[in-house]
Amino acid sequence: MQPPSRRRFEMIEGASSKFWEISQDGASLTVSYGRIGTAGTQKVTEFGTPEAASNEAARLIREKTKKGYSEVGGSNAQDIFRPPTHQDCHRQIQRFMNYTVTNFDPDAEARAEEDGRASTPNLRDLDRRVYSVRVGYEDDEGTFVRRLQALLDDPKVGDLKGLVIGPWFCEYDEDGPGDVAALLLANAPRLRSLKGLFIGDILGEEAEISWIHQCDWGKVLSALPALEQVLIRGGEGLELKDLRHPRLRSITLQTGGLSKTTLQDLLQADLPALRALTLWLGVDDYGGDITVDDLAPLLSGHLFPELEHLGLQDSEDQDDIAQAVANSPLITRLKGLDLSMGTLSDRGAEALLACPAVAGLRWLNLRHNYFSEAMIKRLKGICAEVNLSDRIKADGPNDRYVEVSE
Amino acid sequence: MPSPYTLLIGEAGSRRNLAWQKACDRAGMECRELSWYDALTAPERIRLPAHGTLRVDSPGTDARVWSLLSGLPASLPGERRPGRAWAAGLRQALCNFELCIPKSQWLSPATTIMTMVDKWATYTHLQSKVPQPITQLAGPTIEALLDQMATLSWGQAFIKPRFGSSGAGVVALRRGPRGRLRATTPARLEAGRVFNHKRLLSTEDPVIIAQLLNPVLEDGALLQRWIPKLSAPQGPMDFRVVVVGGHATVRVARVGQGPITNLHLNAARAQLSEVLSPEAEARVVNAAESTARCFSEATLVGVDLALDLAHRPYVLECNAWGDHLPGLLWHEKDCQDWQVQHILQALGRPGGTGEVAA
Repeated sequence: MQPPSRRRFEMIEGASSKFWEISQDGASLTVSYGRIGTAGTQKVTEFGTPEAASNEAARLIREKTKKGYSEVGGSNAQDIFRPPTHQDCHRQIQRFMNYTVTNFDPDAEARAEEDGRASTPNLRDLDRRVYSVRVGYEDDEGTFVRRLQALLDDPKVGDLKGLVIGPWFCEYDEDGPGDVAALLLANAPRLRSLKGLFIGDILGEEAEISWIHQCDWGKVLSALPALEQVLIRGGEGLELKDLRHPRLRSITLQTGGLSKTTLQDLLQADLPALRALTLWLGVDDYGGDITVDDLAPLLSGHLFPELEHLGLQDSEDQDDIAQAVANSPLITRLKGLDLSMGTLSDRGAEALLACPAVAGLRWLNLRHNYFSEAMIKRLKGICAEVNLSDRIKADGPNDRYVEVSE
Repeated sequence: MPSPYTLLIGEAGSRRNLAWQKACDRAGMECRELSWYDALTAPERIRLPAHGTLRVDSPGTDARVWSLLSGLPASLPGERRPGRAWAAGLRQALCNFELCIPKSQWLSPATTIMTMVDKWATYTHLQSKVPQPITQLAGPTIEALLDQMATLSWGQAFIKPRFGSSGAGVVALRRGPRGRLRATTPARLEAGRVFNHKRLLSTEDPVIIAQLLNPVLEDGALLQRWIPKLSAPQGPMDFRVVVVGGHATVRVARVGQGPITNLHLNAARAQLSEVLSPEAEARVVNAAESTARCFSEATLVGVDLALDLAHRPYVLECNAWGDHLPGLLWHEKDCQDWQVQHILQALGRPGGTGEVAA
């Protein structure tokens, strides 16, 4: 048995995947560290008093957290209230809600973890793992549903906290993942601990984001009793009809072009607990037909009483959006604002600088921008935490492009 | 014992020639240069003492040389050059060189150079020996090509000119809903002619796609399955491993803005260790060395590889002249140094006794 005070931290970054564990037993501290998947090295240190040991433990944890380690299964308030960290479309998700993502494959050998995604034939270690289901280029139609069915039939599925839906087969097909949605809906009561759902961990190398055909997920999301966080990639055919959920806190829609009809579904949803909403608006060519006016009901502040983190990103009208947000009633209660990935330039920045409420934000993400150097200087220190990276020099307004559009 | 000596047939005044010359200088090896133009027009100048080594480098971009080899009029700067006639001329030229200098004196013999210049020959040569994406000879028109992809049930594929390398003319093609197509390529159409650019662009216009693809297909192309590549956070990546005398030397990861990752398309260079775990790096290097073993007579093989999403390596292509990686070192030696050392070692020379990459 592990002592109850054991805490595990992991860092997966580029090629390195390391863990660090600490546990306290009276005045003795046990620290283990190494590559994920190995037992690592263990060190035991004795202190004069239990207090001295716990002080040292707290110091070490601060140090590790500062270095970029995050706690496995750590669900401190900040992690949940903030939207998930920017998930690029180039790498499969490694961590979801601070859990390690493991691949579920009923045909996998019960093999040791490799540096490629670990696969297991059944659900295990659900205190530190969440699971993904996906097919690869060598799999055929039907494989996905068979794998998902096996996961749903696993005796431990009631303890599963996160599920990642990877490529399902022919993602651009107009039928969309309707059969996947039906299967999840039928099994929703079994997924009683499921806090997080990522639908569409599909990479740019696997499919065009603007071609990923989604379906109506409204009923499925509403039926998952513990759901707090949902991330959907792909906007084509995406619907969220009759979405109502008392616990859902965070919604992220990553699209190459988000349509008015999808936005309407969202604006009509009953989500009293929604704290973070992130939308990649995308471009007109790929179905992104939302105008600033369409966002007015959202920006009025009447819709979601708890909303405090807003991302309106990857837009060709990023300046107008910045202006609309800065002039909106909603801005006064926002704690975080993300206007990254789009065509934001000095014009949008002026609107932010002219808005007193912006200074009260805890964070402001303006990454991927077209600012002048002078504007970068003026924006520094605009609020507690501001991201001004990935500045692009454009010859003119027509030379600006959004980050994700292909 | 006579001093070591090389004859270099290359593009006059090119950075490639300079790099080779510098490596020879560093090792104290004499090197005589002969331009491809002179080698083709004055073959009597292809002479080499019995202990010398012949290095035949890429004919490069010289328009006169290209015309001599292909028998076709010179193209406009940057214009795509058809490869089949060029490759046929190259084969003939190498045969002629072989009449002047026996095979045993070639750094890499003509046959292996020709196999690597012809991507279909390379594919069939390596088949069932190393992992490669499934590849077929592409149909002669866009219609035939799309039928072929439909029969194979492939949603995405690369179309690569059969002859030559460097990403010129390569098209990443996707089939989408309702018959939609999307092509990503450095090629551009200007007044009906195809030019190569330094930036990848995507288009969904079926007319443009056909105009870009048809000349490539007519000239002979491969249809290669597009296996999703393991990507770096900035974009898709593949790897070039330069194998010299059977041992992996200089290696580099190329991180692209899109699916085609050649360095001249402004892909970013990275160390393998920056983007891969030690285990994955070892798999890439081992696969490259296994590939080079299939060309046992070639001193130099530049192997391009990628990893799939399960971190399994596969070979994309082999380059007989895949050593143009300026500024990249492995154990303080560049690609040319490693080859010079290999020559000296073969001659049992001091300076050639240094360690070889394990």
